[in-house]
Amino acid sequence: MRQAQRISALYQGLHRLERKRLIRSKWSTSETKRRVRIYSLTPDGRARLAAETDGWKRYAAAVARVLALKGGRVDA
Amino acid sequence: MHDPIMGSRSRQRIATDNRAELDAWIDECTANLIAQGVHPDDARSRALDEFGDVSRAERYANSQDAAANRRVRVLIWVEELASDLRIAARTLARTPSVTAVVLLTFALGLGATTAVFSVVHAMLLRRLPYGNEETLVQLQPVEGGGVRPYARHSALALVALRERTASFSGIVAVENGNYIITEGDPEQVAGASITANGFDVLRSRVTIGRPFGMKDESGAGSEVVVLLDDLWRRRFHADSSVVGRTIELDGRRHEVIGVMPPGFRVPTYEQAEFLAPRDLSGILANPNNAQVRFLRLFARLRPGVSMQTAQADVERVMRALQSELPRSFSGIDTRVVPIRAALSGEARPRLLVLMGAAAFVLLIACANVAGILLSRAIARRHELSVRVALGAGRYRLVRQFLAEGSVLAALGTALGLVFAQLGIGALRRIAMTALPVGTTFALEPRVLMFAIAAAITTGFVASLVPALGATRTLGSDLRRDSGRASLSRANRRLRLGLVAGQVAVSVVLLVGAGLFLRTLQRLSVINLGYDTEHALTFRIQYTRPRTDAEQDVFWASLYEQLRALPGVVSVGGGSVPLSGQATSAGLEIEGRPVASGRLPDVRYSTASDDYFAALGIPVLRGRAFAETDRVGAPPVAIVSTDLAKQLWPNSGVIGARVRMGPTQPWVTIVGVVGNVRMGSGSTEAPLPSIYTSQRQDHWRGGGTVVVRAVEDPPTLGATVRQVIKGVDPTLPVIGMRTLEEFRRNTPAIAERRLQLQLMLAFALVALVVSAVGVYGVGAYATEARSREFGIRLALGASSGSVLWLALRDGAHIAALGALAGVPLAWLLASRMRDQLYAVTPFDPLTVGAVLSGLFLVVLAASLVPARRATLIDPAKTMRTD
Repeated sequence: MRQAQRISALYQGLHRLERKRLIRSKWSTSETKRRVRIYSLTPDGRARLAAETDGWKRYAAAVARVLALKGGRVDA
Repeated sequence: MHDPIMGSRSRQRIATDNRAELDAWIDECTANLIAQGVHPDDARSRALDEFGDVSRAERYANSQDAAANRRVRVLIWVEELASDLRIAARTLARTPSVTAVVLLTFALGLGATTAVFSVVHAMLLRRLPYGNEETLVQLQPVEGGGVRPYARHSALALVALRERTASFSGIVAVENGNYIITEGDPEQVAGASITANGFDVLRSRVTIGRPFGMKDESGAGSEVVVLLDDLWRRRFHADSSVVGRTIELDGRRHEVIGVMPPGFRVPTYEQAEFLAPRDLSGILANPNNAQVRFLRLFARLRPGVSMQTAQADVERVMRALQSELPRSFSGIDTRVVPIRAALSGEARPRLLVLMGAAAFVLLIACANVAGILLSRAIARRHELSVRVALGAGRYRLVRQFLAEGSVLAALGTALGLVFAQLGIGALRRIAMTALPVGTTFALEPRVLMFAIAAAITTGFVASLVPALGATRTLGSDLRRDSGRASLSRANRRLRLGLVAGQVAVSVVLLVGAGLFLRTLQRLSVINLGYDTEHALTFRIQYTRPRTDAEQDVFWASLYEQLRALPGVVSVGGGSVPLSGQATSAGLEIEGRPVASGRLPDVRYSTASDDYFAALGIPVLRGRAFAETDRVGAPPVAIVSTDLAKQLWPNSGVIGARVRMGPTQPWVTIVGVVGNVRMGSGSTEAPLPSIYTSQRQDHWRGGGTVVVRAVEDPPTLGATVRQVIKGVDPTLPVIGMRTLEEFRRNTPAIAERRLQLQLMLAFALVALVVSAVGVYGVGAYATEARSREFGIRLALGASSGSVLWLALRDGAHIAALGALAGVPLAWLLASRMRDQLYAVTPFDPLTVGAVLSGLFLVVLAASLVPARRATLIDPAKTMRTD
């Protein structure tokens, strides 16, 4: 059931991101000759992704340091 | 900016797209599951399961897309608008002459209307500088049913109205006066003497110092004045320490006790620059002076008293006065007039006529623009057909037209603004003499708004109507003919009608201007009773009181030296009737009872020996004044022939004795002279006049001189000034000009000239605009029918018959315009009958001249394109298809 929620969320998220003009979509034909909607990053989206990635990396590094300090073990 | 593929979509389309996207994923997932070995029957439901809540996800996606779509739509709209405007500008630039004509028409209509409406607004709707104007009225004397411009009330009337009416909380009396500031730079200033309650009645306050009160009026202390803002700024550089200082007026010191706020004006005496208290007790003490009419009365209605009640109240008092004191009041009534009406009084109907004319010009301008845009649309049908065939929607085409309309309206408005500003500048210059002093006007924002709204509406309607018409029939049009569009009957009629309407309005304006021109012409040849050619006039003001003996010496010496100048024929002293100002007096005849009825009212003035010769007033019987008529000799008088006929119908005027009141000496009539008209207009009829000799009845304050010469020598003025300086260098010479200049600048003539100039300007604008309209119709018709004309010429039609075919529209327009215009002009002209003089509203000469002029202009305007029609090369036009 967890995976099912992710697909629905992904679908909604894509449309939300499109409204925010971080991604754009167009209709195209897939390798399986199906008509599919292809999403791609807009310049705005690319910039946002870079910024969010940076933020995430810092956050992850900070968390990793906190866990290392306590000498705890982190399971992947 | 927006994705061209996922661009603006309908709600339906969004839903279909999202459903397809979802289906695509589910199909893909199902296929994958089957490939992994899931049974096909279960695969789809497993895929749906894996996706989750389909309908919720779909709803959410749809709403997100719709929101995005709205923004896209705005972006598209803005982008399309920009492109529409760009295209519009390009299209308009491609036909520069048409665009220029439309813009000019717009600008002329807008500019003329805005400028004139602004002036009218300033005059009729301006804020008056008095508190609570609804309850402020003028008590205007009415005599013999008419209001004379210089009619006044007597001090007796003021007292009676104050004591016996209950409708007013106060009545103020105002007397006009002219003074010389006799210190520093001598200067003549107008000043008003008002009763001390003036500040209360007018509800006006001083900004600095104090107003005068009853104490000042009684003249107990020193003489005091309150300055108006203009004089304060001009002479005292807006120095607020002026209060307490003194100013020398006519040689007497006056203490400045206060300054009025900017914008304050004495009602009906706008040129006044200071206020002085008027003490009437001296006048009232003398029963003779008490009935002299020299005051204007203004009153404040008590709260809750209506105009009608006040009028009835005043009428009751006047009737009582008429029966109690018939000598002073018989035939005199009083009208209660709201202050605003009293102030705009005579200018009002004139301004309304001008306003109407301006509105007509705007109307014509709009009609013309509509007409031009209409024919442009018709001429562009081919282009439109192509665009429709290439897939342009009707909405898009209409928008294109609207964009052109708005570009035209916007540019026209901008240009119109410039014109309006120029027009106001011109009006300010030419209206100087004809508008009340102190009337200020500027571009009136509300008027401007209205004109802009009219322009935009015209621009829109005029582009929308042809656009809708054109797009409706386009599809078939392209196939049927190749764009050399034939005029649809209705369109052609509309176009002709619009232009004929313009011609009709032009006729109205031209007739109006023609009637004013004739009036002015008639007015300037009115026989005033004296000769205004080759004569110079000026006024000399004493700077200190002079004894009678001093005066005699001074004037005798001045007259003699002036008469000795080369080219001077005669020199006289006495008032110039053009000023329209008159002292009136009741005349008593020796040996006739005066108990019944009022004394005959006569204009009374004092003249020198050569006064009649200098003005060219003929001495009809008896003699003019002579050197023997001096103090000590029997007092003499001269009367006008009207007065002689009126009071001595048979004979015996020469030698009769009269006096101007019970305390005055008896004077013997020694001569009869011609009548003179007061002022320069038709409203100022000749008044029965009596003249006394300057040597026996001395002037106070100064006198007016008339110098008659053989011709108008340009240097006479300077020479005369030299002579006066030689006699007494301290005397200010005021208002030197020729009698002709005086006459041209009297209100009756100057106002009518202004009216004529404006009317003429409007009429010419209307005519030019209509001519452009006629030309446009002709040019378009020739263009549209060039093939037909070519065929006709090829088949042997003479160029004359083709010329007539092309001219026919113009002839129709002229005939229609005249047919509608002439009755309309008559209708309007009969409403301005009061403003005409010695010209009937149906003046055949004017109408005839206007119509023939109009036909010529229309003919000329349609001849140009018609001529082109006869030059068509048949072979060429046939080949173009």
